[in-house]
Amino acid sequence: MDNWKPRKPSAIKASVLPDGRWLLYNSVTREAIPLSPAAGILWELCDGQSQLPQIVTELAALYPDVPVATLDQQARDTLTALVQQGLLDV
Amino acid sequence: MYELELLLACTAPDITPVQAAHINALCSQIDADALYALAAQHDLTGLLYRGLLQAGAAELAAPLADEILELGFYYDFMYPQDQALLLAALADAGIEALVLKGHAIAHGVYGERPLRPYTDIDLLVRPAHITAAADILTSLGYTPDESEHDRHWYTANHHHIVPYVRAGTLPVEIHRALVSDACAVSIDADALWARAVPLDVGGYSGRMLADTHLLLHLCIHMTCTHVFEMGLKPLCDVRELITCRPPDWADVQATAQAWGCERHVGLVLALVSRLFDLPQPAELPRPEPRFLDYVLANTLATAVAGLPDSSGLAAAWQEQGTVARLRGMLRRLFPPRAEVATAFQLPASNTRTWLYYPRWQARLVRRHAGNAWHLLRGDHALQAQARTELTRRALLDWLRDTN
Repeated sequence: MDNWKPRKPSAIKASVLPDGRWLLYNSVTREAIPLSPAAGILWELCDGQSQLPQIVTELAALYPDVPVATLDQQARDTLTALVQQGLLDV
Repeated sequence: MYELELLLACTAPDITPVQAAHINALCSQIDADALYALAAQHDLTGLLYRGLLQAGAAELAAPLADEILELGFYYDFMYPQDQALLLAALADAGIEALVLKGHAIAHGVYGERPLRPYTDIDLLVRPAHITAAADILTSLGYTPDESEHDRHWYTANHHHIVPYVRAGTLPVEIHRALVSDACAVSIDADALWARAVPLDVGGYSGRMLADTHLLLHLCIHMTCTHVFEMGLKPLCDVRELITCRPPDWADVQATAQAWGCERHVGLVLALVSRLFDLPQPAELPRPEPRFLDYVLANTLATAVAGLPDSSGLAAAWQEQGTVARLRGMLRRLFPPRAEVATAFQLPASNTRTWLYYPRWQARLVRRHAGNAWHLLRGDHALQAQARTELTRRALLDWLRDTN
């Protein structure tokens, strides 16, 4: 997983709601999945160039009060879920 | 009572610390269910949600979260995706279209689309392209909705053709003009197209009215087409537009004068000024206080007060004394020949117009007998409506008088 360079599929569109939640929409299946603000930001950081350690570094800058080990595990869990749901490609 | 004050406070585009303190103070004085119902009545749930969050009243906002999610699904993705396909299909056929009203306001003014739901898609198309636009809709699986009126009625009487519908998406109304001829304004159609600005619709590059034209259209639509029965939402639209994109008031005044709608715009801005405590531009006419009171009442009730279907009866009832009232009613039962000729679409020179008077009188009796009976019996509520009707008629006369 450390070598993954997750990227956003072209069919997936995103918007941020007034409360910070993200809404991801599959324009092919016309289904939407809500994400928490943190999961949404993680999804947004998946630019197809960055590997997991780089992504965690960026998350650490955004959430300085959260231990890096915690961020790392949460990022792995979230990325796995997003890939399984077809919301990210690797 | 405080629910309305809180709702209005929450609709501000950018809530200041002072406004936030005011909102939080009101939160403890309101009935939450009444607040949510009031927001729903005026279709302002999205703005209420935004305002409560900005003010730090997350607990009061929380019950609305699921609805906002659903609004996001439809207004951020589903509907724009359908609209992008429609606009692309029209463009492929060489048909230009301007996105109007709710869709344009949600995407082009608010930015966050779930804040401003809309119930249909309004597109302005050049008159020569109306038929071709309808054919495109048909090719995309839309069908004409003639449940209220048949298509010929729309062609003869309306500024848009029959609405087109398709399961799972919003109805589409193709406009040949911004407003109906009954509004008696002279809109420069060429200028609408020349000054139109870009609008992103689900990734497609569409176009919408320029800010001045959008503001004027909003005002005319509220005053002329609906006499303020649409509630607070369009007034919030105007406030959002003029706050986030301050207009060139000289351009607004000049364009309104050219279109003959200065009073429409002045009336709306006076109401926005009263509701949201905003300064009123000096360039535009100010309405009489009784007109402002009347439209405010309509706005809050989301209904048109008065007796629009019994205007003549209401006018006759205002006469002093029974004899004068009967004389007023007789004038309506035996109007000038020209009026009867117009009502039955007869030539002005028709020598047999007198044969139509019984049909005219029968029509009046059918429409007004019930109200007339209740007025005679001293129904106070109906008498109040009759007095209100005169204010409505005076307002419409004021709006139409562009001198």
